[in-house]
Amino acid sequence: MKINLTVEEKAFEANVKDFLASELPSNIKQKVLQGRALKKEDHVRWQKILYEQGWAAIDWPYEYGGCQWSAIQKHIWAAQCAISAAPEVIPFGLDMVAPVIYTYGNDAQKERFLPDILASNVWWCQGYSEPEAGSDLASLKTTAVIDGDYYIVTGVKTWITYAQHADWIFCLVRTGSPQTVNNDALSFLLIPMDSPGITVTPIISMDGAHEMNEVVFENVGVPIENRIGEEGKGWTYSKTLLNHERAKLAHVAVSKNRLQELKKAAHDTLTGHGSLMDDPRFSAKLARTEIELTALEFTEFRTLIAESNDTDPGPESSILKIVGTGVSQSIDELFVELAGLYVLPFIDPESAEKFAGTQIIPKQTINTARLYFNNRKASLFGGSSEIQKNIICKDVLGFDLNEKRGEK
Amino acid sequence: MNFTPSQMQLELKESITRFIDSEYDQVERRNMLASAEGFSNVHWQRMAELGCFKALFKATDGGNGGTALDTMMLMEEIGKGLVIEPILASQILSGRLIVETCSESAKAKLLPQIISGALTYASGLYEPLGRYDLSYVSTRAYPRRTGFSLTGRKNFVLNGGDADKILISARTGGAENSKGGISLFLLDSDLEGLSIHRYKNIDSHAAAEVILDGVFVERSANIGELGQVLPGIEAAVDAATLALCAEAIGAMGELNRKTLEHCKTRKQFGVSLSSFQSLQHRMADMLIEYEQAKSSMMYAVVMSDENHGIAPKEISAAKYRVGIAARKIAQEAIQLHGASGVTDELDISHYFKRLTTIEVQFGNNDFHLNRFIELSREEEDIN
Ligand SMILES: Cc1cc2nc3c(=O)[nH]c(=O)nc-3n(C[C@H](O)[C@H](O)[C@H](O)COP(=O)(O)OP(=O)(O)OC[C@H]3O[C@@H](n4cnc5c(N)ncnc54)[C@H](O)[C@@H]3O)c2cc1C
Repeated sequence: MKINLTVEEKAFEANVKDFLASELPSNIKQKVLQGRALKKEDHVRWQKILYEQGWAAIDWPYEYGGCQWSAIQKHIWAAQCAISAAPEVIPFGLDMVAPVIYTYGNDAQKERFLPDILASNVWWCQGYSEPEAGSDLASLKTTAVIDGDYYIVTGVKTWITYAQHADWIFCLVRTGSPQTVNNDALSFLLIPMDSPGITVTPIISMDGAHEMNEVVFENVGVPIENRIGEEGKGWTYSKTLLNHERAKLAHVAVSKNRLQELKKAAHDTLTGHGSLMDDPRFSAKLARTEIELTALEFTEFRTLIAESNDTDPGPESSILKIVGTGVSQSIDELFVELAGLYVLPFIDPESAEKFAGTQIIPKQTINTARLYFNNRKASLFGGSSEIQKNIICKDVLGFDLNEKRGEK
Repeated sequence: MNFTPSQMQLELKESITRFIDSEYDQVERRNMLASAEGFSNVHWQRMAELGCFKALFKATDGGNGGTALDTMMLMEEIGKGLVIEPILASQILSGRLIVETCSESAKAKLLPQIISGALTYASGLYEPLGRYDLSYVSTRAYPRRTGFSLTGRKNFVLNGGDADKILISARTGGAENSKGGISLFLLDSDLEGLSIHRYKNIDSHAAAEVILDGVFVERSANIGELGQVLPGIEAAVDAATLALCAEAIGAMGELNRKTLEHCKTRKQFGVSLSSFQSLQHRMADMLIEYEQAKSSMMYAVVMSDENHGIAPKEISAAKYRVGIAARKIAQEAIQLHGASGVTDELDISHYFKRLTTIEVQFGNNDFHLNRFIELSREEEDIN
């Protein structure tokens, strides 16, 4: 998608480019370019640089540290970040818990939590899912029972991304009596990860990475003042939040940049009949993906405009999430096809470059398999693609999903 | 057209299933993956005893099977059990290379040790710049007074770091990718000038890059006719490709079974996942994919057996169709398992990685689609 920029917008773009060129640390950029995992320090370092610049929380309201950027400016920012291989901001603090705090929290909570989130002084994780409550989040069983000034929290949260790094976890927990209908009994609690009674156990993913964790709460005391908003309203709060989360999960700018990389790599890949770009089958797949991505970009743009007119991202965010995930996963697959046999060696990038002095895998394909494996999660977390379609069915098309389910 | 297994084939199949169920559990397999060797010699010997290797060779070559149907029946079980012993690289690809290219006397010398499982073999046929082109051979064999000197690079050599013997395609004539002038050499793995860099593939099978820097071999190391082995290499790779298809079918069948079982037991929203019609249809699609892939694989098996092991067009069709199904089924299996599907702990992800590997080995989907088109055109030109 090409947009004609105004003079001011062009100046803004130049400013963004300068900033990224001078401030993005080169070792972080290298890791992003090679698709390698970033360390906690890398993320924090970059987010603190953004904070210094005043660009850490572009979507926040201005009064709390947001940027007041137009939809076009946000678009420029995302595009330039992707082109410069800047890491994506870790969402749990800045994009996920902060909007709940500044929307539903009291003044004391805003003062206590927002500045540290903005400055990336604390690392947050999201404690929603449970072994028995995945898609059906509202059936979660972790309980929080009042005892004096405290909630006593007991239960198991699972698949929690980066809990091993986190200082705080935001959780949906069951308050209220067991008789209360499912989602009227959920509350939104902020819990320090160093509270006595919390145990974190790693879960290793198929690409060998340690991202997910199981987090067990055994009689963990949490001050009542750590509850956001009213008791029993946690579900409503987090639903709004999920809409924000989903809209971001389209990853348009990143996909656009990866598609460019893919094209370059296809030109460089020889097949015996010229380059892979000359193979009509491969280039047709590339073209189809590009068409889909451009349409997605415009869909996203339409939502950004709507948002800047103060409409909350509603069910459209489900479309962004489904299509965005689909496009990014098809780019993964095209990289797999491009790499051919080079998909196979599972060598960490550091040793591959030094491998007896020879490069065993071309640089552009070194992380192909890892990324393909890792990104299978995209259609699961933040509400799976099937659940997004259910949301569309219910909220847009008006179907009653419980009607005669499974009956004949 | 005959694809009814014989009594002997059924018995072998049954004993392998029993072996995998009782001695080849996933815990054991994981320990093996973590070990330095990467596969178990004990299992290797057991497979030899059970007759797995014999089944892959004709009676005239010292075996008791040797048809594509024999291979298929074995490899489906191997796929189900996610077996990592190098049966494909050693027995099937290398064994078949010897069968296709060697004189009777050379076969009589080499095959017994393969069939008994005493030695394992690897074959270096692909090169870093050749993509899937078997005629792209830039490795050169220069004649010397009593033999040859080999220089070049082979990559993606399955079992290359663990094999006792390595077969290498090298050029004794012709330009880099001409069809003539390709010869086959049998190397011991400890020769001077030979460096072997072992690594693990995404599916935990071991492979290697093999660098030949003036490796001297005696004249007797040249097996097969000098400069004329490309058709033999292609036939052996086709046989291995078909074996991989059968392995994929075994793995896909298992993934479908596990996914169905999961959806029947996992409850969300107070009901089992399998009660959602959208998911029922997804599982129906997985079954359709499986059956279509299986049919194209079986058709290639039958055609291969009816045409003395030669059925390139049908094998390409099978590899393409299996590749499409493999990707789809592997992805759907993870998706329907939810987050547990992407963990290392559940074997769903291990099947996913094996199927991804199979999809790209010996030519990916586009490669075989292109090859199918070319072969169809050639056929039409002849008719
Ligand atoms: C890498 C990764 C990181 C994650 N990080 C976090 C995190 O930080 N915090 C957190 O709280 N959670 C996290 N999750 C969990 C994620 O939100 C859940 O995986 C997701 O909600 C799905 O739940 P489940 O895995 O239990 O699958 P299930 O709910 O068991 O679903 C299995 C399959 O059935 C489908 N399905 C379920 N119900 C229906 C229906 N009604 N109709 C049609 N299809 C249906 C699903 O779409 C899915 O394909 C993470 C997951 C992954 C994979």
